[in-house]
Amino acid sequence: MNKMIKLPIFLGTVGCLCGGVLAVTNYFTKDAIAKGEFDRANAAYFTHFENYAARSELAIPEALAKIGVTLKEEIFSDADKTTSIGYVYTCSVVGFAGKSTPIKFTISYAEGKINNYVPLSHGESAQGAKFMDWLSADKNNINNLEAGKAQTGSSVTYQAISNAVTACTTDYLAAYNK
Amino acid sequence: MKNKLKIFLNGLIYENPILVIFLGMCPALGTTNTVENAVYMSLCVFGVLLFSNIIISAIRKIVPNEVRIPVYIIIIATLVSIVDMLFHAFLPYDVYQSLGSFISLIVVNCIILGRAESFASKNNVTDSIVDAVGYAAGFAMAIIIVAFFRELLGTGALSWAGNSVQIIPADYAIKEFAKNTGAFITLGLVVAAYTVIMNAVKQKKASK
Repeated sequence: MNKMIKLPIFLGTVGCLCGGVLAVTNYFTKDAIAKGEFDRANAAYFTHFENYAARSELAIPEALAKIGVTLKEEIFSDADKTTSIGYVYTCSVVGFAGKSTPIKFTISYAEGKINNYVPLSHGESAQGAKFMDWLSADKNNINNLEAGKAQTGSSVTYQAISNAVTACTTDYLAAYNK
Repeated sequence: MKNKLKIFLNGLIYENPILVIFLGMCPALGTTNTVENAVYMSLCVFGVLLFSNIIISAIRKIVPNEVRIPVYIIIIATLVSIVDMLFHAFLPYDVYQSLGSFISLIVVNCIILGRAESFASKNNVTDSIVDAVGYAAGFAMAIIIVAFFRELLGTGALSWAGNSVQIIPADYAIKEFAKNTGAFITLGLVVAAYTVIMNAVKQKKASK
């Protein structure tokens, strides 16, 4: 058979076979991966608020959705949802690693200021990861992002997170100050 | 049997990928901040190297010469993706996160493609398995030794699964060893020591 036909067919066949194997692996691992993410997200609520009992999902403004906010929730210290203790925004922003592995994190607010930052997942390089480790190291660091950028030099990761945090803070304060 | 032992020892000692041929330097520097990371990276490389050698050796007679490299890369990339998904699903998330982009970088790790092109594509499956085990063992030995010294000197402690043992008081730890500069220095010193030892062994054998 003509080489010009045989070689692409062979390559295509190998590609399809490998794709099939990957699909099978994805089928067997996707539930475990999703459960892990779900458990981490749930555990994050207790990191934000020790007396977390219930949460209520709120509508996300279009501007926030464009920045990468995927969830906005009000947090309550009782199951009846009568005592509000703060708000949590879940963000998924595009950093250095690109759209395939976004940076996912939650940021909480209480009493008119940022309460805490909890990372969920990311695929950043060592430099970007350094920035997020710096954020997680001290609860107060989330209020001083510029210092983190200077320390770690990861400008793309910093910009992605900073834009989301600024947008969430503006949204929270607009509601808090009403 | 002697031939199999020779193939194994080649990868482990005489042509150690990190300490002699200097392949796979990126994970050797990037994942040796702790022994735990080095062990998990070794497992990744072992899995990918073993299965890529097996598959490439098994199909070596049907792969057209003109497209052999793209075929090898597709196979290696598939195996790396499988390892990545399995680690993400079944390993503790902290460990998976600390390995980070280094798992994906195994695709371009010269050890994998090098052994596929120079050995697996020219030898039978059994020999290819032994070759993969030898090189993976050599890679593991090298990066675990580097990680051991980096973690011990950089933090004063050795840790595993969240538990750590302080061996040197933290105040006396040289933090540079935990950073990138320390990685280069430690690797260089380990390579130098390995070269001295191998030269001494060669001289002893020659004088007998």
